[in-house]
Amino acid sequence: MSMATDPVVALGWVIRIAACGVLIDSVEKLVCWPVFHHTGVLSWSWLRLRRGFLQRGWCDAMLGFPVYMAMLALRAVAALLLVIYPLHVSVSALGLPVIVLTSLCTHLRMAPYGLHGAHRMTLVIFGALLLWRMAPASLVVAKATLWFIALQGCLSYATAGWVKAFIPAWRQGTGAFAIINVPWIGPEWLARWLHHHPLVTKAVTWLTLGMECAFPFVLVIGYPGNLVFISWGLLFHCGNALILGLNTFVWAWIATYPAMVYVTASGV
Amino acid sequence: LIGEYIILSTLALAFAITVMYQLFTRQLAPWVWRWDVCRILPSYRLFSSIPRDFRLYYRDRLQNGTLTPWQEIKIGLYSRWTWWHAVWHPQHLVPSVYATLVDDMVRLAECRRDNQRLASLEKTVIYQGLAHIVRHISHDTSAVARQFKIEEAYGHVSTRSSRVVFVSAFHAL
Repeated sequence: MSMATDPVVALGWVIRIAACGVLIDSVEKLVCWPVFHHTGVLSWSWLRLRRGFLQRGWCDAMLGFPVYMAMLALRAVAALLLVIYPLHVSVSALGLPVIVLTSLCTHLRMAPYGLHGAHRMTLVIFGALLLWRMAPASLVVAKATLWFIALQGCLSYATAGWVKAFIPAWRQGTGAFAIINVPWIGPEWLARWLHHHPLVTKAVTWLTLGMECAFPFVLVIGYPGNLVFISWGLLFHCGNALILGLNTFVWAWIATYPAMVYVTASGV
Repeated sequence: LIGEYIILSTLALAFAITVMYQLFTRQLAPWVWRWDVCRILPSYRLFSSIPRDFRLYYRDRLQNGTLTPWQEIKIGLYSRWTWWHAVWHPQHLVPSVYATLVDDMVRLAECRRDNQRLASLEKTVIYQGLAHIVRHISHDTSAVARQFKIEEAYGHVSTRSSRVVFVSAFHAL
């Protein structure tokens, strides 16, 4: 059985890929532990000021240092187990709620600082997987979960694309350069190279815009047309990871691809 | 069977709400940010505007009253680009926090520039967060207070000179 024909196999791949992203994200945060310390950039001493209820004792106890680091360690262990045994009954029964709860705590502790699109997509995916895990024997729920994840993936690309279509820089073909030219996003060598190669900039900008806007067609185009979108998505995310260092985006978005493959193969 | 219906309805409702939020982000965002404390609802408007290039600086006042030169806090991710950042990139965390905080601070300062004074900005969480970060950067033993400023520059490839958009008060160290 393959991910194109068996919904449970497809869900297993979704879990495995998304859990890789959670594992990397958790270990990266653990390695950066001084950042979460009382004097660190993401110290609870100032993050707790964002809302009144965060200043209560139970929030301090749960989200302060070092309890939050223990939570991240637990999240990393759960993710590792899910990478190795994505469909194991006990591992998924414990691992999925642990990842959802610790992700919620991370969002509660930090949002919007130090969080980005990959964290939100990961939470959406694991939220859906947790719902599936509540009725693991139901084929209908398994298929609905895959549909939900595939639709979320398509919605994300389409939204990002159509919003860009209203920005003059993207329509004029300079959007990719404008983003990479910002020092906290892109490397200087690439900004200078794109500046001297306007045709390449236009091609990259319009290809990104066009593919993002058209991405939902992946669900209706069928095989092998869907491979065009999936191949572009893989290149796009791997390119972003390599050039912009957006490493966790790769896992969060590519985790939706097994769901897309299943939905495409099963017919709309 | 009832359990199945509940799960299917939850998935359908969650998707419908996400679609509505993408369509009406500007209108719904203030309400969503107020109630969605965990920021569960995703906004997929990635790079929906071209980010601005802000630079963060600080300087110290020493015991004898002299001021040190402005020093830049690097919020750029690419002081050293390496291929393995595609897989492993913990260095991304701190600059991304700086970038969001600085961006928020400038928005706040630009909104309040005309009718509100610096004192009202100092009470905001964004200002306090930025002040906390700047205050905890290591300093000379003779430094007694620290000040930060934000400048807007225009990218790697630009001949325009940067402009100051915000200067804080001095904060005791």
